[in-house]
Amino acid sequence: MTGGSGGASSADGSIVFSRSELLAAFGACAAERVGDFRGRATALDAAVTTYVATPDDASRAAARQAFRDAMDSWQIIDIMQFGPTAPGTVIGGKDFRDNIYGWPRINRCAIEEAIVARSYEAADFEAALLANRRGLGAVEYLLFYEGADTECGVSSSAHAAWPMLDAQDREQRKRAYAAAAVGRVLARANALDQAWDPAQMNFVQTMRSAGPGNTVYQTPQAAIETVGLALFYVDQVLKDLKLTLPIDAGCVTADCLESRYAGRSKANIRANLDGLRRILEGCGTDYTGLGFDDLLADVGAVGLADTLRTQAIAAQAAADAIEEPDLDQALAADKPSVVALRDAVATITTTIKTQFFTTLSFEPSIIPTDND
Amino acid sequence: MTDTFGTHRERLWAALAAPRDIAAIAAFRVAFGAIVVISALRFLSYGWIDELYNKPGFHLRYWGFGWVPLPSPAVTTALFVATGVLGLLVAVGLCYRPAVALLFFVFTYLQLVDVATYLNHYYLVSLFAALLVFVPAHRAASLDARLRPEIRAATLPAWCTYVLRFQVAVVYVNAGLAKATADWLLHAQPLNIWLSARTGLPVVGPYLDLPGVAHVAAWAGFLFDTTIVLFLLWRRTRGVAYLAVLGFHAATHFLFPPIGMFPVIMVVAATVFFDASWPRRWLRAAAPPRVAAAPAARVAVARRLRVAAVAAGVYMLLQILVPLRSHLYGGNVLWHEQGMRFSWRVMARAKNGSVTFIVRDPRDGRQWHVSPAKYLTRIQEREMAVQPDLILQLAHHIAREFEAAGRPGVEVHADARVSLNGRPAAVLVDPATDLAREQDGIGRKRWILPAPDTEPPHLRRARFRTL
Repeated sequence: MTGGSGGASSADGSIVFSRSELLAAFGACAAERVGDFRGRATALDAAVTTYVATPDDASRAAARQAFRDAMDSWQIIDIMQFGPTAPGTVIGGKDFRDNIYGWPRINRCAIEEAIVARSYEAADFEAALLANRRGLGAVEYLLFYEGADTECGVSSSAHAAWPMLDAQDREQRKRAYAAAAVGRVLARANALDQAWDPAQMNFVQTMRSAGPGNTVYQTPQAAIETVGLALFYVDQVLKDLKLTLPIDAGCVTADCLESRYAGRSKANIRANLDGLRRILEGCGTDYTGLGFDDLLADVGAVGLADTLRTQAIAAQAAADAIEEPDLDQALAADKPSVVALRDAVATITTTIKTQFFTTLSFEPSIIPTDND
Repeated sequence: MTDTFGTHRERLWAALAAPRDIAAIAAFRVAFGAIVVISALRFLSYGWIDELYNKPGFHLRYWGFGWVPLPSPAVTTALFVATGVLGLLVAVGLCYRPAVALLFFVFTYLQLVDVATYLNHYYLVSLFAALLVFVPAHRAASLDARLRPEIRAATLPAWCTYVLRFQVAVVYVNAGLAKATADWLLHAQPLNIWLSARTGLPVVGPYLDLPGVAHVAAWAGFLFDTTIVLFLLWRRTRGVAYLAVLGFHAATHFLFPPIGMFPVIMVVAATVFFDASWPRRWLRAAAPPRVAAAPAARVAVARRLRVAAVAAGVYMLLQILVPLRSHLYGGNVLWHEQGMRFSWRVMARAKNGSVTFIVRDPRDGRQWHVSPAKYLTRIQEREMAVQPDLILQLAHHIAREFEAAGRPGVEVHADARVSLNGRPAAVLVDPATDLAREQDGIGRKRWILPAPDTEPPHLRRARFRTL
């Protein structure tokens, strides 16, 4: 029985916990991770620019590595969809997420149509290309996919035009498209960083000051609830889309996985679980600092805090136990290991959706409605 | 003996038919109509029509009402606009009788579209609308009375007041009896959970999780609900009782905002216990008509009144029995939810669930894990996950989908886990049961597992913790 371990120390060594400090910690965590992603997006932009200017194996490898680094960083944030990162339907949300990484709505055919039509050259890139054909999801295809085929069927304008592109032209277009897409990702990353950054728009302070007078969160509970409800990601995205769907489809190719081209599906899940522990336990080294475990301890639910930590660690261990480089190989060679990971994640989501939501009195609806 | 019975009966008829000032019921009509208007405006302006009616790809239906047609988005919006207009017509008393009858049908129809929208106070609105169809509350303070002088009346028969009082009493008493549980009275759950989450509220917040506060609130709520009707009925305590009504419902409104219009409805509804002339005193209107009870022997009981009395008796009997039906199922209704709806268990439990459907094709042994999120919105999923009949309903839908996809005869099992009042999640539905082969109905569902017999947790804030 340990409960949370974060909080500000008082003179006598005891820990003084407050919901505003917890909210500030959540905000600081998001701000720190977004800052990290902005740095990696900057590096990705530079690497892709180099790749466009000097397209060789070395520059391509560098661009791909920069993509992996950026995606690893984003996948931690992906579980923190609160504040400006969240969809516009969530309190405080500014729709940054889907504009940076639109999975699972990424549409390869739509990307190939844009390649054929050179839509990526449009002055207003984001207006010309829907979120399902830009962002990191599109960049992954553009940097990693080397096949000459198209996914577009006969009803698509690209179906006939695609084979007419010669390999050199197609690759040149993909590089240019990647550069344009990464440029927009970087612009969004900068804007998101500004939104969180304490030295700029400071959404961290918006979270800390939740309560009367706060124009975004009228109560601390409302702000804490948006962070808690963001954990639905673990259930509906991580468990259902990233794991159950490939398991049930019996897929042995990467086609039904999140990372179809870069082979990072397992790494993405590992990063998601890292993000989960940062929210549950704290964002510091070895997950120190304030997290939901401290709130649970504060209301007297130390056992639940310990249960969640144990389950999160077990899920990380299940991910680490998959020996194959990525999930497609694991599903082919050792499906039980992937099922074990899914089950471990399901154990957490059950606890989150039941006792965790009940204990902290969260209402799991995006739009609050009446309830008696 | 027959003479005595006849005398009692005639006295009863006389009491029911005794004229009472119409003012209080007219005021109730105006306030009720206004509440309906506000409720419709809230739906139209808060995005609830999309969230509750248009967004769901699959609607959870009331048992026996699967035949109710689903409205298109445009029709749904039009019906809520119509609800608002009808509420306005009821408030001003224009075309009152058809308006309130239509209000009952439209509002009830909208509730029947999806069980996930069920709320006790929506049910109460439907019942009030149905009762007002028979109460000529438009004979004063209405446009109808202004336009048609022949319908004007200064009084209404006393039964009009009694039937409304009965309805309000049913709500309060059952809401109180629902709190007579160990969780509520001994462990102060779920109030302890709810109050602990509201410590950030201004002024009162810091006190909400102090030791004993949840217990005091739990007992206060229980005693209020179970006794308030008596105090409202007794003239000498009525004033203080109504102040308690205002205080209690103001507290629930500010502490538990999701309770929505319920406090407003009850604050209005409780006025039916007032003296029949109270609005005249408040509005300094003309003095109430002098009314004297007609001698019993001279009251002519029309055949129509007798029929109405029988119908009212049946209605009242149903209103008493329906909330009690949960006891026929045994066990903890807050867990198995059989008999939960229409029983006025207002904010009686904190409950969240997680369900995964496991579909298995016995022909080849293939298995799928199906998430409810594939079919339901979060609001629907939240309701479904804690209500076994809705779990069954979705299981049937999933089985039909698999059949349509060329896999007839699949087994559908549910991994359903539920946390009640903060307890660790327990299994709600027997995972061995093939739900695709279970029928819904009012009989006891034997595949629902017993409620956990552990005590709910006692949350107590640790203001200072030492590392």
